[in-house]
Amino acid sequence: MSDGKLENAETVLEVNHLAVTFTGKETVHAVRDFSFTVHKGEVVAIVGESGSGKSVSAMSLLGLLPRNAVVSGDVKLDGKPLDVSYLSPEIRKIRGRQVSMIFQDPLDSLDPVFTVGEQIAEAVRVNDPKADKATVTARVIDLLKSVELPEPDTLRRKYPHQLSGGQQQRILIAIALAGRPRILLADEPTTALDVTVQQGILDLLHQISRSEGVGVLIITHDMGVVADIADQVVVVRNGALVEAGETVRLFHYPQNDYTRELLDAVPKTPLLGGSLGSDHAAAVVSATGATSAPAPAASDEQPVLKVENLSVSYAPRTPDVVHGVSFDINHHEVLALVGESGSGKSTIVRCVLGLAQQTGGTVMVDGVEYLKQRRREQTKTRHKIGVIFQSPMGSLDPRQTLAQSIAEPLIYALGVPRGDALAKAEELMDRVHLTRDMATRYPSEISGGQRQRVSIARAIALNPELLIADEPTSALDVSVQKDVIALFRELQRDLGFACLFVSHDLPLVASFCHKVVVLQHGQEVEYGPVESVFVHPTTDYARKLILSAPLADPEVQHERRRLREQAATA
Amino acid sequence: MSEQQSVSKKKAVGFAAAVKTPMFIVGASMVSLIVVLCVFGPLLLPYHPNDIDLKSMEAAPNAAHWLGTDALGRDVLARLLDGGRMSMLVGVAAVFVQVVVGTILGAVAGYAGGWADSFIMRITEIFQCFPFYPIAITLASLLGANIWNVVFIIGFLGWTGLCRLVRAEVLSLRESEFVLYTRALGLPAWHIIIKHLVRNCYPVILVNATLAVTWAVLSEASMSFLGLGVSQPNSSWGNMLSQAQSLRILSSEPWLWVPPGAAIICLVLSVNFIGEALSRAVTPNKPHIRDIDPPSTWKPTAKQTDAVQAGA
Repeated sequence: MSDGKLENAETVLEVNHLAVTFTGKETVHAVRDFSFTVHKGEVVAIVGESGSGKSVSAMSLLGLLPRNAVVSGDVKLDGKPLDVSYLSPEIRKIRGRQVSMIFQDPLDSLDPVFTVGEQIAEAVRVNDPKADKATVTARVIDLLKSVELPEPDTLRRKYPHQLSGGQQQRILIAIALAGRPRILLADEPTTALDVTVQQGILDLLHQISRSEGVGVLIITHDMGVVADIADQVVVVRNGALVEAGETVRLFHYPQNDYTRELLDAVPKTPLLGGSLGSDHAAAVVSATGATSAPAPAASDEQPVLKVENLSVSYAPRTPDVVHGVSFDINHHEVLALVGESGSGKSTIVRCVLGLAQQTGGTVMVDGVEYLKQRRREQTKTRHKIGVIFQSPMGSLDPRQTLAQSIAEPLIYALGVPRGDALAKAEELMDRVHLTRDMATRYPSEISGGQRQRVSIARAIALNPELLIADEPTSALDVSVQKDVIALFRELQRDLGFACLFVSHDLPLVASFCHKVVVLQHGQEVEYGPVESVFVHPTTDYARKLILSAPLADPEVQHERRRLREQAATA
Repeated sequence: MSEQQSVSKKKAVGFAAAVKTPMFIVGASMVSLIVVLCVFGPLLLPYHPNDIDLKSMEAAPNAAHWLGTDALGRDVLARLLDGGRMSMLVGVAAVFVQVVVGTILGAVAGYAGGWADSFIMRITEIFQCFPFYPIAITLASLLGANIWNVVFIIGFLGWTGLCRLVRAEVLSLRESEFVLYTRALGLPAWHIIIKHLVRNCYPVILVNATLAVTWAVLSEASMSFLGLGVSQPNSSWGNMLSQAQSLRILSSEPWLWVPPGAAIICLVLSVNFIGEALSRAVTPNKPHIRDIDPPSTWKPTAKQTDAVQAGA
């Protein structure tokens, strides 16, 4: 929408043929021949999967890489050449002044023993050593106002841990703005934040780029974020430039196969795109008239998992963290638990698995309240449940080979002889499309996506009736995620297990699940079929959550931003 | 993907990489030399360590007795090699006791938590807050001075450090998802502890046990020196040194105390080399941050640029 304005805007940062090589025992070419340009008041997104060199290239501009990194390339900042091949005096001068950087984890980036006001003041003083106390304080308050934080005068006296993640990230942006930078490097600035908070930070970055004329270089792996905020996109892969271009053009007419692949990997969600984004009024109207439709599967069948009025606490004699949640899952059905961090998703999973303290309600698997059974019968029920966890690294024992990991439930739960179990493990590896020669490898020798396949193979080893998947793909790159979800779907179709799927990724849930439970602070906010919850949410919270999940569609995102701005001014 | 592989390669190497470091090679070859000498040396010598040669008492090193003889006319070389067997046996056996006790209690404390954890940790604190020698001396005088009592005392008093390390490791491991998985599957606690937790502690145990050997060897030497360890007529490096309690021997008969002293130093140093090499292999080694380095290192070195060009 503002493209016309940018045509003749001045160039702030010009990077040509940037290359970064890590020397040492082995030479790694992290970045090779990478070029991009950032104009004044423009947001440029560098997008790529993990290991593509996107963070390394940003850090190399500020000389933040360790000693074993060799950097080369022509960099021009404000038209003046900048020598990035070593830690030149110019680089030290521009840090925090012309070029600022913010990082992924806001709490990690702030010093816990100083108030946030002191930390902003420090940045102010670095840029203006002669300023007296009153000037610095005034500037700190100005900065806090410019990042849209309420009550700057009380807020500046607080310590980082007293603020929420979104507020912390705003403080970091304030620190970055203290030196009136020409360019702001943002390395995955919203990845550690919840979606509803993420939208606020993205809006702020967008607004800063427009009002202060700062060039923003945002590094991300999320196509939704790119669609939301970027004017220009640069796609990188294995440290090399794949495609660059104006955002809307790139999303609609990707030239390169890899770009197309990346865009295809994003879950397609007709449910989330239309009605809410373009027709805000319809959503508001539906709030009064919507009904929770019954579950799509046969109704007189016994649900595989029935949770009723469940309350959970972390440990005995501590307050409940989940309050009265109810849902049920039938055969062939996938139910999603969605919500922000701290909403109790994983706690519910742990409770269903008997790993957290249940303080009220019932959990029935196949019509039996198995957690109240005696140990032996309880173990039998446990074998009907397969589990997949989030972290591809943590969910496999690093000292077991892949075949041993997969065979473990067979050997120790069913008492299958070792040899047979290992043979069965190889069959299961075929099932999840892993080659059999990987059987004797260790988890550290394979990629994240492959590890998650091993977890899936292990989870289906006992032919479970219920599969519990706790954020199984959120640590994976989109293209890998796409394959894993495809595998998941295939297995679910063939084996017909009921599935409890925990996720914070709404587009993924919309594309994949049948029913959904929306959680907030351990309360069940909304429960029903995906179609009705996502199209006609009945509560404000669910609507907010659904609207803030960025979609990989620049037009929808631009429209949403326009509506938000309208609402703010109105 | 390619990055994944290079990372995994480094990880898989782990201890295997340590084996190739000069430090490990020096340490390992010295240890094996000492072990071979002590195990096979006595078989080749004409003298039994307790043979008394009345014709040459307190003789200086000569062709017949390469390292001389002691006050009773016993061959120092024979006693040195035999004593080495004893010192190393005590060292390894005591560490074995430490590892068994420390690992079991540490794993139980870390996994069970709650009162079991508090109980075991309070015990380790009781052990750790008393100095080693007073208790060791008291125990030795109560139990009597012999080799198995020395093993028991050193093992019994030294397991606490390993116990705490294993507990800390298990505390973080038990929250990992592969342990959650086995719990969700309903597998028994002993299976989880042995098959998953202790197996994953083995780098910690190995490094710690190697370094504990040197401590055990030194403790044995000190106790024997005080006459509370391996007792005569058995020889050990410690009780050979105890002869140096006399000023006459200390000043005029160095062949009686230099060889066992030097042997202890060599063994302890070389075992420490091994332990250090292993512990470096498991602690991540991060490259320096440029900013705090002297300006001369800010520019890439010629070697680095060459490496880049060679790779390109």
